[in-house]
Amino acid sequence: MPVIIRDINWEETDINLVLHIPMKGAKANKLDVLSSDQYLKVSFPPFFYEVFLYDFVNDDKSRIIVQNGFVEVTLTKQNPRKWNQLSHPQSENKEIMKALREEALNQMGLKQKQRTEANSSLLNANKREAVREQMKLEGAERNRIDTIKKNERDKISEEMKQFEENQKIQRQLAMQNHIKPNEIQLREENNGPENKKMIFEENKVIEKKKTIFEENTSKNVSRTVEISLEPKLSIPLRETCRIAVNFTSRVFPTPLRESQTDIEEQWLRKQVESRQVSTDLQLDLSEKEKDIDYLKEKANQFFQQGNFQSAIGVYNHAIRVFPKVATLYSNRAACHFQVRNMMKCVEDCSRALELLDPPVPDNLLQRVKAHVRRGTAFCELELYAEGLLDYEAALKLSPDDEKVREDAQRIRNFLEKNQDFS
Amino acid sequence: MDKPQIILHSQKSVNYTVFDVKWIPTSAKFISLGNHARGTGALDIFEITHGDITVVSQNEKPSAFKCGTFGASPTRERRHLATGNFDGYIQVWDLEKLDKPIYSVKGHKEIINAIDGVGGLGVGEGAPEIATASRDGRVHIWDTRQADLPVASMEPAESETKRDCWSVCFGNAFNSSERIVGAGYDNGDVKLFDLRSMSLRWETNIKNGVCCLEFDRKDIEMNKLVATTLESKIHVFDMKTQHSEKGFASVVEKAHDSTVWLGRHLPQNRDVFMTCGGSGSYYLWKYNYPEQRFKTQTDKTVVGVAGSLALLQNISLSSQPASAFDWSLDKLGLACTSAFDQTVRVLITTKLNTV
Repeated sequence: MPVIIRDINWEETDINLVLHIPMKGAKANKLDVLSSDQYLKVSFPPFFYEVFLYDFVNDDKSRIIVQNGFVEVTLTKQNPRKWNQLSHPQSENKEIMKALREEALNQMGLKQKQRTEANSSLLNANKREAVREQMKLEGAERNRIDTIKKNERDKISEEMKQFEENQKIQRQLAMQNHIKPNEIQLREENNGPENKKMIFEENKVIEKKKTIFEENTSKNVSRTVEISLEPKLSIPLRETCRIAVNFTSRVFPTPLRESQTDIEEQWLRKQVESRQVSTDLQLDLSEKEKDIDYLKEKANQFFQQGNFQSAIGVYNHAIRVFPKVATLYSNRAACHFQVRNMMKCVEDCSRALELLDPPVPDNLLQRVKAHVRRGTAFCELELYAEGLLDYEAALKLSPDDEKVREDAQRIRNFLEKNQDFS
Repeated sequence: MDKPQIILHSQKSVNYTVFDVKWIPTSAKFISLGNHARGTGALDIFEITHGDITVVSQNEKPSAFKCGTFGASPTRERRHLATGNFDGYIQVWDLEKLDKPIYSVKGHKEIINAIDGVGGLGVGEGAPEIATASRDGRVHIWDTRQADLPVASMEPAESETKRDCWSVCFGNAFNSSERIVGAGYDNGDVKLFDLRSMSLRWETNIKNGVCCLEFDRKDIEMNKLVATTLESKIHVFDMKTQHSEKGFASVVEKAHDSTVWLGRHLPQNRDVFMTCGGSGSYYLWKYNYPEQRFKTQTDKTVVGVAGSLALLQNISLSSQPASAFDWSLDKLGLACTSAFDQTVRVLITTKLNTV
């Protein structure tokens, strides 16, 4: 139950009002103040003191000091005049007190909000300043580097101009020099090696450049240069020889890349495995029937003749002997397609694709063919979505194939049209 | 700011694919070799004037060009350009008279991928010779004094299936009889052929197709060999010490995040070279020698020690691979380059004298 303090002392001047509130032994850190323009409440549990002031005070300029067991409140009056009394006449009215208290609270709240807003806006302004400063510094740094680079570039343009001019001067010198050696040659043809040396040295100095109208000088050069070529011509021609070269073996025709070596090895191993005849066959087969190429030949012949069922028969047999050769499945799929056995065609294509793993450039064409065949089979079965998937896969593997692209587009259009209806 | 800076001086767009650019010795001009869309060859001469590249002359030849070199040009004044084209023809052109080649031979059955020349330009001793590498797996050495037949050839043995030969370079030409030809193949083989003894000097496989091979100098005893390959790898071999089993020591660096198409040494400093990548980036490297370039092993044999590579600078100029790069012999740091975005560019690298 809070206890109201009534025995306070107060003094006033025209401008200020000082209140001394005894603390009665309470701790200073529990002090709480609520003040507004006309209301003051000081509380330090379990005591509190409140007063409805006679006149308005400047809340912002008020001060509170805790010393000697007293709370000293200094209030600055808004209207500088003597009050002669502390509380307002209407102090005893409970209603008014309540209203005042609320007002005081609101005012505190408002002031608090304003303070925080001011703080945050100050903070923002500072941040923006900091960022601007940073940008300025970085800009300055960049400019410095740019000017250095620009200076370098200008220096080099200068040097290049110098270089070009040097070349031009030397070219002109060369043109002038050409007349001299020619005359020397004509006059002193019989002088032998000395003469040759001199001309040879002169030629070394010459740095010539060709333009169309320098045809004359070019003729001169050809004559003088012939002489200088002689020392070189004296070196004998090499005897024709041959060195036989052996290469590190590589099965694939593509260049060797470290990142591809693993999957290439895997593929090679699979190829080797598939070529091995399946040993768990009890049938007694002749040599020919074990030769995969003979079987493929035979099947191909049947296919050409239009005898698809026989071709299928040969492939069935071949697959029993060589269950891991992808091309057998692929070709049997083609036969099934011809006899309109679409489901079997799809199955065989899928099996072929399974066997054509890992995907290396070597089996690219086979994979494209399998995808296209399966796609067509799906379309014949009216499973257009699946067919489109296969065509897209084929297109991804071989983006340059126009026919595949057109077919894929046709299926897409067909699908879209049908979807509109459903 | 003390590092060398690579500055793009000027660039020019052309309307054909450029495969090679080379400075014309002793001039501010360079040639470009390429392939028009209609399948004919382009041979253009450009000049640097007033900070810009101007076209001096344009020539069209019946067959597309792939590569060229001035290396076997007899003198610095009389420039002979040796070119290889898509049909397997090696031709030597006199730049004064470009209407007909002064030497032409169908040296290979397929496209000539790379060409190199040695003994010309007044540098080195011995006869001027041209080496060509082709898709048919052969490396041929040509001398312009002998028509129709190469003076030396490195061909696949009888039973071998051929591999693409992608690059070729000359080296070790420090006197008139010594020559070494290095060849890089698409299966990662690097082979060195000694032309004096007509034998295979050394071979190795660096696990990725070799796009470019270059000795740091052609006319000295072989010192270093740079091999740039697929999968962003750069190998630098120390060629001073050959071990009988281990061969040459090497350091490997990974850069560019794409195929490294070219590696070109600075003519004025043999420890600095530029590599050009498939992402259009150019990296400038310096090779630092180790404390000791060789060490003796427990079985008394000597094996070489490779040094380290330091990246000096890099720049990215286009999104397409760089197809050619050539340092100028006359001005330190000047280079011309081309890329598959149909442009030729002139670059200047500063502060190379302080490297």
